[in-house]
Amino acid sequence: MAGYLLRRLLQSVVVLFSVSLISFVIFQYLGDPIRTNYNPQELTRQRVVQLRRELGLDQPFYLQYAHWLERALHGDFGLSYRQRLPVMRLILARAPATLELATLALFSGTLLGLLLGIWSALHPRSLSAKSAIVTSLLGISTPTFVVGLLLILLFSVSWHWLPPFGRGTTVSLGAWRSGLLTLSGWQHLIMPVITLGLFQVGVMARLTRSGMLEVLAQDYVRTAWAKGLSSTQVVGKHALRNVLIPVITVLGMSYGELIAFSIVTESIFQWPGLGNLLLHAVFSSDQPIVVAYIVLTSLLILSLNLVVDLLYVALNPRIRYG
Amino acid sequence: MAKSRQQGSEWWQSLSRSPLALISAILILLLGLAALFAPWLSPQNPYDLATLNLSDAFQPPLWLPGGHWPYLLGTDNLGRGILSTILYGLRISFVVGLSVVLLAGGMGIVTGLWAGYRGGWLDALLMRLADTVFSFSTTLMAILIMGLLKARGVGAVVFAIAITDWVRYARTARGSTLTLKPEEFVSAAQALGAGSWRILTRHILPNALPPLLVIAAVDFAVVVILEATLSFLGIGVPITQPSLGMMIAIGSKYLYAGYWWMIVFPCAVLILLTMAVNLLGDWLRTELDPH
Repeated sequence: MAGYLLRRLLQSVVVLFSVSLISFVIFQYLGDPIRTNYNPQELTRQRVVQLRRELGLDQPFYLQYAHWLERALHGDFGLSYRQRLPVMRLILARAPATLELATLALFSGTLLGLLLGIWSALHPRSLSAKSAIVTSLLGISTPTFVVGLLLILLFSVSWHWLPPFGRGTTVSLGAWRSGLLTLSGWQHLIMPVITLGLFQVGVMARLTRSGMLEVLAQDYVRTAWAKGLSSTQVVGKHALRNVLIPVITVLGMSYGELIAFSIVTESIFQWPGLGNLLLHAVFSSDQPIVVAYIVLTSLLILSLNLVVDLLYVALNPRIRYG
Repeated sequence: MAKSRQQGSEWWQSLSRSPLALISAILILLLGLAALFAPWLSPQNPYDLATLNLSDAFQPPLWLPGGHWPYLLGTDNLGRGILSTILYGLRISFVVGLSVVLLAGGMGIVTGLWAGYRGGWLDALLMRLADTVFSFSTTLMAILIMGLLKARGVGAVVFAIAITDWVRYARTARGSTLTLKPEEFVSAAQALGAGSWRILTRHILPNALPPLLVIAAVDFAVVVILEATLSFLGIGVPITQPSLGMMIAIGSKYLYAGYWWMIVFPCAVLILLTMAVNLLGDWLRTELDPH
């Protein structure tokens, strides 16, 4: 077990290192940040030389990368080319908006998907089960940005029920600006959460349904029914436990998708989170922000994968990592 | 030959028994033909800037007051007919979808077969790579790659998606090869002195194909959505060659102006296409995998 964990940790470090190196190299060869970020009329020769020195762009490539890596290990990702502020401060200021949105979407989407999947497996012929199947098919077939735009078109443009843009009123809890403590915050969350969560509902419902149908046909479940156990006990205790293993595998792999679609969702609803920060940085060649985003996202995904591996062991005692 | 014809007619029977799959197949065929013959079908060439008339911008669909021929579904901000642009946009969806499936599929199947048959360091490397790509997701990788690249266009989009997407095929091909390798017909071929390449292409690949076909179908829908998403974000195709995603991005700038046709029609076509492909993929899965 310890050996396995160590191997996984080492592997994660290698992946992180390569990810940071690749993104650093690619960005190095794209567009001069000084020319893209400053008014060309203000750029005298001296000013360019001075700016290059200030931003460390006059050093050879390997030195730039080594300096960057050393500081990154201390949580310092340099200055944003455009906003001239520490990248880490910009990221920390935007993180709560993204985390609140993504967590709500992930949990509500997974829960709803599980319930829909169980329901449609238990009552395969009912009308509600059939509509659940159609809903989940729509969920995986409709692009995230289409969901968001159609929601805005209906609930904001046509009916004026919900606000289409931004986070609404937020409350500061120390460094954390939360939208969860005000009515306006929740109103602003509804459509982005649905947009981001619908895909999750579709994936989870389809997966749970097919897993549940398979498990329900097995002998040990029939025995459980025959013993006269209540349906809550049969489904909740006996069947669901075995369905949950593939569900957790997919859940572990869906963080990447969730982060990708959070970029899309944030761009539609002008959500002041990390996804929008990234997109603006991409359009203005703000290298430090893009590289920091990629590295921190990789760190998040790799650590979540480790957690999922440990969850397996908790769910299925037969799995032992050698 | 006889066998394949017989199999073909079985497929046809099964398809005609499943009305949903049949409708999906017909719909995909129609959309594909519409894309193929777009230059002859569409009333206007939306890529030819010389034929565009700015005074025709924001025309409503034909059946609404103010709508007029040839703008059946209205026009966008540059006077491009929505119907014509959708037909041309479908071409981009199909070209990107098919190119990625062929490119990633080909690359993935070759690597997967080889890794599964030979094992060793190539196999170990492939599996680690697959783990990484799956946890990051093709969507996130493609967004980040297009964000880092400054190139825009169909070729760049195909590259950004295919460069990680092939791993999906490789992993499945590898898995099938591993289960087929100990089979008797493989040992028999080996005993007869067949080379690795011949065994892989003649004996293992035909048996490994069914699950790969299902993956290709689902993957096509995923890629079409991904191209639309990249173009919507402004990091896909250039603005002069509107794909469905780009059309929707342009329409979303006029959400409050009441020009709903700029968004609703391309969205509907996109959903129809991906839903039909997913339904056909579901049917293919139950057809090929009795499990």
